Amino acid sequence: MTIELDEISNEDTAIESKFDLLIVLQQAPYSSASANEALDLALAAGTFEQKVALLFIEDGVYQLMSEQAPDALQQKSLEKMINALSFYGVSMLAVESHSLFERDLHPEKHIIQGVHFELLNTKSIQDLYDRSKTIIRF
Amino acid sequence: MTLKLSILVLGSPYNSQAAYSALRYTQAAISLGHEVYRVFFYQDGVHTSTRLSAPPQDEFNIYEAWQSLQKEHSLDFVTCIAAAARRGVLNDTESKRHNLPAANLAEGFDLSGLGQLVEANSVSDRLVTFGA
Repeated sequence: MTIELDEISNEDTAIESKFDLLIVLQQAPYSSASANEALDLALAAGTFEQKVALLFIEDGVYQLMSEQAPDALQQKSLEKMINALSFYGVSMLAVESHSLFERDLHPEKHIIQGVHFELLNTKSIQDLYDRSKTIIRF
Repeated sequence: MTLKLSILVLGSPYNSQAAYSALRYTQAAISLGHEVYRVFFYQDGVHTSTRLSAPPQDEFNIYEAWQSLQKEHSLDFVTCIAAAARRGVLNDTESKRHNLPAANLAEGFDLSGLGQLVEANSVSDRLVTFGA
């Protein structure tokens, strides 16, 4: 059993890369400028060709809801910014699966389509932290 | 071993302890001989860089403390230009550009873009965040 587990973890690390910056988004969208300014930083870091990863966790997973309609709050759509990330070279978007579960959100039903998100458990998140030079929480 | 450090301040002076802790951390790092490459003020942290604040005489003046720390060690203080404009922190150029009646960026602070934060992260051994 031990050998099998070792093999699995080696396989996992082989496909994992290191990041210059991990941005952790943990706040609900539109209640403050936090999500907007965190995504601004992600886009800026992408522009400067840094390896950037984003982790959506806790209420931050609400930033990924599809069909956001912030017009009523006279705010700009975060969904558009999230869709733009890949054009800026930000390709690692991770979501903590337990945060989705706690909020009864289902990736195929509630989350923005056409953008790839890695669903991570607590252990994979620890790995992601270890592989990131800097972590900034918003 | 000395480190090249950059500091990111996200919290405003009276809303959290972030700005105060960041100040103390920066002072301590310098006194231990570490290099502080840049202090970057973002989100509500930009409020630290106003020169139009007047705390009561018998209270600690955190604005003054940051300004004198910058002056004493010629530190590189950068305030995010977009986050600052949103919150009413402007230098002369920005004030004129937005056609506004006054400017309030404190001496020793520069307004610049997020690229300065990204660059600080890439050249520093550590970027230490305070706030939110």
